[in-house]
Amino acid sequence: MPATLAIKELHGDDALVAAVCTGDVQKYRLLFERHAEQLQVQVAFQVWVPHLVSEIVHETFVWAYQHLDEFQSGTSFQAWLRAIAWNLIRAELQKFAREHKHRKDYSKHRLWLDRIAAGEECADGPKVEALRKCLNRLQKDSREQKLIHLRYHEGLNSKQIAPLVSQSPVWVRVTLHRIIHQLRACVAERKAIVRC
Amino acid sequence: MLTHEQVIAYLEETLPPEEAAGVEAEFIADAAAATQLTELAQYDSALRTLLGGAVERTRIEESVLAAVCEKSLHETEASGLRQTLKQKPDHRSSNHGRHEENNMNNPGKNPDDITKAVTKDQMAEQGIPTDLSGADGRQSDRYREDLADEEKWGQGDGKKDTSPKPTPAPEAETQGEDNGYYNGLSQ
Repeated sequence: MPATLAIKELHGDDALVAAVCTGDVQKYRLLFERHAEQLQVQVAFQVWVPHLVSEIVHETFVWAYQHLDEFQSGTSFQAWLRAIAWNLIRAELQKFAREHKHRKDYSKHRLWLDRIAAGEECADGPKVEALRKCLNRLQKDSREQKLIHLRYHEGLNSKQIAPLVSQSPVWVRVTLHRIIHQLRACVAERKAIVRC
Repeated sequence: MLTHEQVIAYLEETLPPEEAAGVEAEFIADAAAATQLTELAQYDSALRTLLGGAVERTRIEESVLAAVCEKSLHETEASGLRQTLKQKPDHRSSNHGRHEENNMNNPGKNPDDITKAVTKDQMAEQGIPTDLSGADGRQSDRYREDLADEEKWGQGDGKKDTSPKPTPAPEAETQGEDNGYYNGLSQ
């Protein structure tokens, strides 16, 4: 057996889960590092309130730890986490709907409930991978890449970005809208190839 | 019809409140506008997380591990306690002889033997005082004797002994319990 394969198997999810179950809590860090980013983006596709994304990811990993003995060896740990996160999102949105029914931003979040009721849960795994690939296709040092970096990596809004690219805030918004549409089209194309 | 600029500004939350309300009213009334906004919001949120989520992820990681370690500690404590509770009857059975011995010396004192009624006459037969109120003077005399003893031992060098007295060795049963519990904690 090649050494790399042996190492991969040694540190596979099942082995890590078994180690955590026998009391090696620090191995849970490895599981987190392996799966958190993917889960975080999947959750972000569903929930577009940043602090709620963080809460769901946190709760998912804590819940998974508490029920680690229920994880079926040989199955996908990522899929298990996604199922937990999905249930947490559903519960969170139902709670939100109850508590915020009369708030003005309720209408924005009602869309989540509609989507979840429609049962689109399997759609976001390949979507994350496709999005990653589509981002890599953006030309290096291009205007698009710079805008995406300033908006999403630096967390700036269009008013803040405008002077940095010597354009108006309106231009920044319209261009960002176009880039997101292009990314969406690219993801849809790739997702058609990799179906969940 | 919503413009691209409006939609992005709405997602950025940089629209004035009246305009934001107008956008919301639009996408409630118009299903196509709602779909457009939903898709953009999804990508906006996903891109923010994918490209700018590393710092937040580190924070979540620390928070998850803190929660997990805390739970692990509680579980260890609980398992230590369960172990202790499980061991208790075993300790009793293993020290059964010692209890029996105590019962012989102190009949009726062991709460486990509460069903065994001991009459005053039986106690008197074994020379055990049945009146512990000190009314006959014996208890207070004994107390004074104890005090005198303490003073005698404490004034060996002419000073009152204030050094901590060695605590009596706890019973084996109690020692076993504590060890089990704290060993559990330290794991």
